Amino acid sequence: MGLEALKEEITKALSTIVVEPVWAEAAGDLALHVLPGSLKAVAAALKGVGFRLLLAVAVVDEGETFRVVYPLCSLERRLRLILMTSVPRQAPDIDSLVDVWPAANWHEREQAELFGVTFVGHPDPRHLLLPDDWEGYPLRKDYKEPEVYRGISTERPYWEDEGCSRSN
Amino acid sequence: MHYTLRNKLPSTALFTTVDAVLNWGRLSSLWYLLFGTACCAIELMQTGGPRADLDRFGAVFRSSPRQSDLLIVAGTVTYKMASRIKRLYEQMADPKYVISMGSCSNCGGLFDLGYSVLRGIDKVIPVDVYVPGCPPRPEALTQGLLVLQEKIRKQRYLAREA
Repeated sequence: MGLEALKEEITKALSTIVVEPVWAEAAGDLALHVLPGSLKAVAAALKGVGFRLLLAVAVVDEGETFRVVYPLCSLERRLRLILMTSVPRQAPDIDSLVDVWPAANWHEREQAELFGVTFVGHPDPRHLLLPDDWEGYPLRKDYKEPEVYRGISTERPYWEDEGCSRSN
Repeated sequence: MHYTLRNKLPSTALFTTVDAVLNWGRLSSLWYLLFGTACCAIELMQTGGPRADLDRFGAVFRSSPRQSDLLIVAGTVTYKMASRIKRLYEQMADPKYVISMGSCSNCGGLFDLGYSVLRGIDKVIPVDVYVPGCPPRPEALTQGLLVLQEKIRKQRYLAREA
């Protein structure tokens, strides 16, 4: 199936949600950029088109915004599509897609603890990997490591001699 | 020894010190905890396997910290894991020993710059022997065990502390 035909089919499927889809290309795949408000409806529509498999949920810290990326896959139709949206850093709230793809559950928990993006409506918003008492969001670009964690010093004597700072 | 005394004793008697007997027993049965946190655990398995054969030094793995004398910290330790390792160490009965295996548990190693990585297990529990390497070969870990055995051989349990 050609890219243009796929674009046309998706545009048709999204016609009641998105007036004019914003297309892009990411790593050789077709990418669709939507507003966070219409994300969940778009996701459901894309699942209807055949994208039944959510491969991952990724977050990119772009400064003023966080870009949330959902790589999708259709095994039956041998298609790939990347769904993207951007949320402001000041209020990083986004609809949870667990209702659409159950696979989003752990991915969203991981991104929530690492980037501080809030997935509204997530059924189980606990930490996934980090300890429960962890403070801060370690994959944000402005993350500052605490001096001490649970009474354990976090200093790096070997690296700080080389000029590496605490925050990287 | 006077030969008359020797004649009065059964031929199976040995003369030694209490310290030496205790130490000999302890160093000859260093049961280590079946525990690994990362890729060093693979080399730990190799060391326990038939080629390197840690069993010949009396070291066999136990699955419970209550039955273990030796904790081999094999691999990267995160802050989350550190509290678990500390609990395992505290569950072991005295006398207990710790071998820090590999760069990661020695000082953080390759993952030193990570936000979640503990920079050396010695920040949490006391360490007897550090084995360098990434990961150490089975020979290196065997050497570490032998060094620990030498350390135990020199311990003095009955001596009054200075």
